[in-house]
Amino acid sequence: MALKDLLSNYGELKKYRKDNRFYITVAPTLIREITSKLVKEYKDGIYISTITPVDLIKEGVIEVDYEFQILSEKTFLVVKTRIPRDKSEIDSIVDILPGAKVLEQEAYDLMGVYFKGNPYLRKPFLLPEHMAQETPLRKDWKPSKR
Amino acid sequence: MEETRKREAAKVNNALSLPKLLGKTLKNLFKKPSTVMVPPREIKPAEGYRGIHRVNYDKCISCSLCAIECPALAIKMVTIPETKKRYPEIDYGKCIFCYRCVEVCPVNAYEVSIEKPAPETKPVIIKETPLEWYKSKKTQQTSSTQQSPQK
Amino acid sequence: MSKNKYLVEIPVGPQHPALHEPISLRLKVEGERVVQVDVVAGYNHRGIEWLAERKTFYQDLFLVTRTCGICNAVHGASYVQAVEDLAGIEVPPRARYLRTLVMELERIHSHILVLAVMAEVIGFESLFMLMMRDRERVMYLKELVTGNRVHADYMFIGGVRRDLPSEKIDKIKKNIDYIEERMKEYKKIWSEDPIILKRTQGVGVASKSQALAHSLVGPVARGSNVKSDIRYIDPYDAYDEIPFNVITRDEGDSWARMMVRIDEVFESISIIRYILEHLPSGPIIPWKNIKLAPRKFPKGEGIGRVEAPRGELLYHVFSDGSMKPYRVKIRTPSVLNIHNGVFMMLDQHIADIPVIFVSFDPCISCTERVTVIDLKTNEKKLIPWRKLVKEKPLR
Repeated sequence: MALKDLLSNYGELKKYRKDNRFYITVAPTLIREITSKLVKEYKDGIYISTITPVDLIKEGVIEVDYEFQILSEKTFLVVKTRIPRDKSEIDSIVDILPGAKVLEQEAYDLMGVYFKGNPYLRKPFLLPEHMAQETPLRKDWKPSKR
Repeated sequence: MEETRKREAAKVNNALSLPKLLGKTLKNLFKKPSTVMVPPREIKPAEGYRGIHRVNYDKCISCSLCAIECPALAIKMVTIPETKKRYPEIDYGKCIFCYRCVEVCPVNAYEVSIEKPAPETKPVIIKETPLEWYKSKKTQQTSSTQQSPQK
Repeated sequence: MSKNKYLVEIPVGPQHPALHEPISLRLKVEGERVVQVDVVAGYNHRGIEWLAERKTFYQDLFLVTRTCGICNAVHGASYVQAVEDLAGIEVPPRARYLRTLVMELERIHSHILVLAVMAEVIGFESLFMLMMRDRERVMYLKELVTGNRVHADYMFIGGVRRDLPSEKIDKIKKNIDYIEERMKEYKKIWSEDPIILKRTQGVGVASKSQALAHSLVGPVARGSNVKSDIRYIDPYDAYDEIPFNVITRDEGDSWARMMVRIDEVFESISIIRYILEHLPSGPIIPWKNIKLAPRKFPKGEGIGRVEAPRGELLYHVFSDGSMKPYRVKIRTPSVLNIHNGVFMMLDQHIADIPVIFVSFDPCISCTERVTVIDLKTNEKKLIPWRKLVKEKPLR
């Protein structure tokens, strides 16, 4: 099934500048449903490329972009979700795609996006111990003195 | 798959026959070594190597574009107290030799060389700083003005 | 289980003779068999993503190439691709070919490096020295084309920073011929030497479905018969015009991953030959002068994806219309390969751990990018990998 038909229930599939790159904006509660649908459809050729959290401080939201590469279709798909900044929680997809584990850990460590249902989250993951409570990639973060 | 592996493993017996091996050994015995011998000789960098670059202060128009663009913040603009003009001073300890300053200069005041920079961690300032350059320029000017009436 | 009483923990790294960069693997062993692996990372975290938000687009170009020493040109290429995607800049054909040339040179020297390191880890030190000697020729070529043997700084937004004069082309051809001849011999050694075969074959096996589920990329995925190559699935620069093959093997073990790399070197050599013969003439940047490049970039986002020597490298650049990027996301291939690939170490011997780890071609500087650290690890906090990898039965 073409990607457009597969995701027709969730919104409009928009194109990036390059022909084989698409993005779609969905509600954060739908991410698990979409991921499992994609994994089921493209069983032998999908991997998660990255999870990109972006802090949009003016709008008070954090945009979490799930970027998938569909190998068999030669298509790159970005699923965009927006979660509130002060309650930054989203469902984890680690049980559907185990490859998302390290990406979720990194996003939790640096941006403070909590992935509900991921047992592997820990803080600090990459940061030093004294920065365990901090999220340096948020726009309002200021370097603390050690 | 197992078979191909076995086949590939079996080839080892006739891989390097003895006369071929002997020839290689003899050839390597009389060849120049690949490593640099002690005492170390200098290795000449390739043509177009990004080496030490210097500012020609006579050309400089004090636009400070190089200092703004420098990704390593290695260029500091130094003000000469008498003329109030600002000239770049490069810290080679910080410099990453990307040549962005050379590229961005509107009057091409940077002179490039293939001279290799010494590896340093502390600040390294070139021999000629803007202040020294201004001093020497002034002494030259005064001496030439003094000399000309005598002639 | 009462069996767990006999578990012994062996720390490998952060300073270890077998690992060339600081990362720590905590192995739980039962006799000689590894039953659990924890990766402790963060020893090399420098804050590049954070710093990139605070510098201009052009300063970032030189910052991002410092993420990694071995694969720096691909970092630059991926970043400029993202910025061009953001601003809609067309790259002239000559610049696209020259970028491809430098990236392929980099792939050759990176693959030769990891092959040499693998030989050293196995204990075949003379092969290590020979391969490193021949790698120096490629480094010389990179210096000749770009101006520095390690940090190329060759890419520029819209094109490349310096042209390739025709007299340098002969030098490249001559050295490429030498490297191809040597690589033929190394391929023979790698596919026939009994020591190498015994140490690498059947060690650290990942099936196709495992490689996909754990999102492995690059030669690690291609060794498990996944046709994951950005040059093929999402062509960039000149790859849509250049003929080349995607190398895959179906064994999925450490040896297959190394053989994929050797065959890719030959593929890269043929790509370089094609580029040198078909190099189009014309400008190398879309503007009259490099000084006329635009200062500001429009609001929006751009994605750059490049097949680095280690796999897919992704840059996601967000701009709010000012001189500085709003956010630069860097996802390097080693992040996925190191952290997600450790499932292959389960149920293996302790002595095979360095071999499996090196076969990922790990690059720690790539993996960690945020602030300088000392990470005191609390044993209780570490995560059992056992739960994640259910398909692999424990003995």
